Amino acid sequence: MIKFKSVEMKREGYSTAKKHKQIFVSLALLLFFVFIAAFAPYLAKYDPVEARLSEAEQPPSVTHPFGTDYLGRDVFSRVVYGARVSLLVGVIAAVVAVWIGTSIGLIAGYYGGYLDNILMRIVDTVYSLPALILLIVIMSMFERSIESIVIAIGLTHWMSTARLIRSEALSLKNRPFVEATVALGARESYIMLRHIFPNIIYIAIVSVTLMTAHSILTESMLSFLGLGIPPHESSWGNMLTDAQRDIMFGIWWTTFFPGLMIVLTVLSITFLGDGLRDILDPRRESMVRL
Amino acid sequence: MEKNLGHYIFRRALQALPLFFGISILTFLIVYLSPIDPVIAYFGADVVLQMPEEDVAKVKQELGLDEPVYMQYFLWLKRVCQGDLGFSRTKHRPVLDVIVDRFPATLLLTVTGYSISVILGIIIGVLSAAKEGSLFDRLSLTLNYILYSTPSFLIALMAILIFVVWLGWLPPCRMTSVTVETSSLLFSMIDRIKHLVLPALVLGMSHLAIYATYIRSGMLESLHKDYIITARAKGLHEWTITHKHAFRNALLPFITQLGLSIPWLISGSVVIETIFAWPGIGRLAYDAALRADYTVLMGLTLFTGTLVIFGNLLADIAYAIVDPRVKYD
Repeated sequence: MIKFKSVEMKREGYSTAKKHKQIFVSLALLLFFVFIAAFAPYLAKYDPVEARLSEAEQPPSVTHPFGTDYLGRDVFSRVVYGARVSLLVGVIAAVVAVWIGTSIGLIAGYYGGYLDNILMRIVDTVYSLPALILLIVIMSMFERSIESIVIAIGLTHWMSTARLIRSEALSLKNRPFVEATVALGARESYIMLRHIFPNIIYIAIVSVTLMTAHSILTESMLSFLGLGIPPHESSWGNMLTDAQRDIMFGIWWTTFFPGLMIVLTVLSITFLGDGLRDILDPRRESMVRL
Repeated sequence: MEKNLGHYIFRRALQALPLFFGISILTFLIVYLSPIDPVIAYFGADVVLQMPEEDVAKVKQELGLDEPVYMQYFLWLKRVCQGDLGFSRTKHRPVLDVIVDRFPATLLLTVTGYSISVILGIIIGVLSAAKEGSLFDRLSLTLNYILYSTPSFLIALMAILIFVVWLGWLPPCRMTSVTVETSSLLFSMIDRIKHLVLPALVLGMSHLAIYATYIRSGMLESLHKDYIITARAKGLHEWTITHKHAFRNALLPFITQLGLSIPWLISGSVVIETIFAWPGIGRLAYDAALRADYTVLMGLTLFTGTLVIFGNLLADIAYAIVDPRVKYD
């Protein structure tokens, strides 16, 4: 077994080394953003919510490196504080989505039969609805809060994980080591937790990473439309709520800097997820169908 | 052969039926579970408050709201099948009329955007696969990653900043100028195209990355197949090999992909239509959400879901016609 593994490693050595570099670089960038979020109070010179109308709509300068918005709030301070909400919502929503997907996929794949059939038809059904339409409907029914966004993203993005986990659980179920455990008379919960789950956890890890990038994009989209994070919290998407009006007056810095942060964060998370996937789960393609 | 294909289409359509039911159940559940009183959702709070108690009770009975849940669903489904999606209290018109009115604008925008992304995606994907590892390939891969990580509204805002505010080349929003009614046919055509360019391009851009990557990996896969080696051994020109042998086979799975991306396209059009004040169903969804017009939201969920099912069905049928290897049973 070990010998077989080392031969495989040698063959894929070159690309694996390249992937390690990719993971390392994207992880470093990501840690940088986490650092910004964690030490926001020390990095921001101004209060992110305090309005100073006398300093409104100033272009980037030494005192305000990213300029100020229409209420005179410092864009740099808001970007720094916004990292907290954006990253938090992204990660938690991704965990919720993958948790739902993993549970449903595991049940469908392991138990099979009618249950599998019904669950997979539900997956197909939710997949047929445009995610944003569904999100808009859900968000319009609940109070605008961080919790409702997390739940809404979780409820609309679990299907791809469910399909992946299901097909993996399905193939694992018929492997000799699982059949042997069944023959020994092990309980179902024991087989699920000890034999099936450890073999699919890597799919869940990759899914969480890639889904985090997706959740950050979705949150920013909803907040931009005015259906996401409530106005008093500052997230990157939320900072862009008034962006369209600013743009029409040529005030580009209120859009550009939070937008840049979104792009850089999503880029580094996608790179990380892609790198992880290529090492852990080489059969899957990330950019197609998330 | 022909008979088999007809059989296949029939079977595939039958498979779509449960999906229709699924979508209808989901749509019904959304409104059933929503915190809003169905009578208010139907007529609006201001109307209901002025109604006498008896009328409210009568309406409830007519809508079947006193019945158990499953009966309510079937009554609702019956009304839907008769084309009655309810009455929009913000638009003061039947929901179906509103959607049918708005849909052509969305169709124009999405089909244009779709064509742009598909054509550009194919060109970029084929070129970077043909020269794997070249500067162009690496550049387009990087660009694809950046495009993929950029939310479409950000692309839209930056495009407006550059082409509308700074350069002043294109109009910022809506489908036509206010003055278009009084102008000549040629002018109004140009006016329409000018209004279409920016939203369609932005919508196309947000899918370009996915298509280019998909075509590229498909091309690379088929370039390593045995029949390509055979073609090389025959001494065929490299152009013929990549563009005739490999490309055709890479295009096949792409057809399914095209069908699968319809939900993305509709999601994208919600954002783009909102930004550009484009009078389509995406903008309608946004307005309905802000004003809590649930009958419109319900109608749109049902309508877009049906659209997606039809799209996937068409893609599968197209695949079966194009690819002779598909077994019909």
